[in-house]
Amino acid sequence: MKTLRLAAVIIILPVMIMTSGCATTSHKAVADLSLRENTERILLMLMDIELSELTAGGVLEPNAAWTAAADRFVHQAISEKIASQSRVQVVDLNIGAEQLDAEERKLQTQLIKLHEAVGQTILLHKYIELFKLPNKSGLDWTLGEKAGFLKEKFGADYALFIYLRDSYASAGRVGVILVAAAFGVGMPGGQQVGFASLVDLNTGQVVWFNRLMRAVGDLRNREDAASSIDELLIDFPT
Amino acid sequence: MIRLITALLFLLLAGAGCATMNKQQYEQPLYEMDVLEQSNADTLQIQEVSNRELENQKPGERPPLDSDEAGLWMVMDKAEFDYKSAGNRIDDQDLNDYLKDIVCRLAPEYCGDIRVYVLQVPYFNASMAPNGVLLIWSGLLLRVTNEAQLASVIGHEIGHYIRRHSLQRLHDVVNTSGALVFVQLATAVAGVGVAGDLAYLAAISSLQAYSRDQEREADGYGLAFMARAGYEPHEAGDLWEKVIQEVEASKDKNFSLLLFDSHPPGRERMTALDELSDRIVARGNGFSTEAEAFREHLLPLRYKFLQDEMHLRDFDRTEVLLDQLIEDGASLGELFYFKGELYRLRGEEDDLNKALAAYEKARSEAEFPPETLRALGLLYLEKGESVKARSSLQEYLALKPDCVDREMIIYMLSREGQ
Repeated sequence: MKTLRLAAVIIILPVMIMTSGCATTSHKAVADLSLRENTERILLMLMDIELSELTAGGVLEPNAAWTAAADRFVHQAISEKIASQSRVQVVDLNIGAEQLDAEERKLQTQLIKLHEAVGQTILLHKYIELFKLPNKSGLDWTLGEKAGFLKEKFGADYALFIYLRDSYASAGRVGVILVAAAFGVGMPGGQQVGFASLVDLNTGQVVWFNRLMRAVGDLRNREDAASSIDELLIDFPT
Repeated sequence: MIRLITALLFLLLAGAGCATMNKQQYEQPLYEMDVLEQSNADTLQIQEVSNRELENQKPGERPPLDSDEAGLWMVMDKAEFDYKSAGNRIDDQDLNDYLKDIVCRLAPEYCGDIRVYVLQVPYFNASMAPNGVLLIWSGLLLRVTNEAQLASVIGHEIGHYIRRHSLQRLHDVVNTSGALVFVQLATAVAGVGVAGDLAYLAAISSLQAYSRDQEREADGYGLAFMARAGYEPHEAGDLWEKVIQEVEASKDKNFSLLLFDSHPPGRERMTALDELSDRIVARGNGFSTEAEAFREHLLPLRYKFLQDEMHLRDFDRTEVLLDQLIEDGASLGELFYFKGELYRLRGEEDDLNKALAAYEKARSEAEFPPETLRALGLLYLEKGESVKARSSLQEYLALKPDCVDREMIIYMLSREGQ
């Protein structure tokens, strides 16, 4: 199983990269999705963000300083974006983390891991024509009812999960790209990929999903991070 | 999963390391920690090797945020987040405390920097991440038979940590053959499809492998830490000898792949370890194996580890392993029970008789798993020896009155009674 998954990702990644630049479309569980009327809070789960430098040879070298900056900017951009379109308050799981006991912390980690697996599945089956599931329509994925414990803990109706990977070509890599281009060969440079899911904490259901895939953008500064989040949270329910 | 790929690409090893034996790599740490006498010739050699690219990791040191090393740590900090809640983590407090104590006895300077996680994976492996996460697989715990052997592995891993071998590898990958990385990953993954999970583990482990020279250096540290902490250093070579015996008996090529892809050839390693141990022991005394303490903490968990081992169905190798453990002599009843299980499951010619003999041997021990009696009862039933079958099954019920298969056994007894 693991082997298959690994192999699948090897296939999917290039496909994702090849199809990057396509217009962004988010998916919703129901066509006219909106947040429940009395929604007061959305819980922002610990985000999984990683920024890397793409070296000349094509090795992704994670960069801790960039990642720390991106984490801050993305966090701010999400709060501002949601505040600009509704009166819903965004609560950061980090802030309330001490309310969780050891068992709940474990569960929360499992949910984040599960979301990554579910998110990859949605990416595969909703966004890549080849893997469309003939008998599954709409957005019908769930993290399970156990996610409900977060509702009780934080008084939030929904949880937002964020997964982002961003890479930047090093000077050496840019050189390789230019030389390759001179010979008419296209070499990929940095990429911004990721996805976000809004999960209904009453049911565990993923009610809204979108992915981000672009070759431009920069999460290392406030303005560009905000523009990426604008695109990632396009059609975010209000 | 994307994260895993990224991590793999990132951690990928470039070259296979040089094949020539290099004694200096083994010896350098031992001189550094002053557990070996050195001749003038040795001193010259040290100067030659000590011109090393990277300083040793200092206790309590964290890399500056804008360094490539911080990137490595970030990836591994996230991985640690996952290990903490991993479904196959063994979080038995006593075991984890015990392992941590060994770490601290070996390297008190780094006691606060190294975190131990035990995962239930039935293969022989341990690994060290740059941020101080020490992963130990249950298959390793099954194979070591005293604390000194365990210390040899842990000391080796601490050697990787102190010498910052992951960072060295990152530099190698980025500087030399980054372009090959994709090709290598693709090849590694393509070779995986056939053998399932073990091949997957082997691929991952070879991708994460250190170079052979780094392994030699880590071996040197392992011995140096052992000697300093008073562990009998010869146990390091003895452990390898046992593992080589197993590998030679294995029908599963991946089993050795896990170990020897990057590590120095087994024989070279054993010889080097033994020779150095002789020199260490010649100089000092009072080295112990701490077998008693080891048994106290590990034997309660061994039944589960042996069950996992059985599930691999690599019977000829497991037979070698069980014989090694029997020679060690701890809880023989349990070991003979599993030997019986092995023959019963293998089912080759005469295996049922061998199984019967092994179960009977288990029963003759002071302590044995109650399941031995059930196994005996069922085998005697098969052979038509009704009296022996009945008495074994009755004994089983008496010894384990709350067994899950109680009703089934009672039914069988009633049928035999007619």
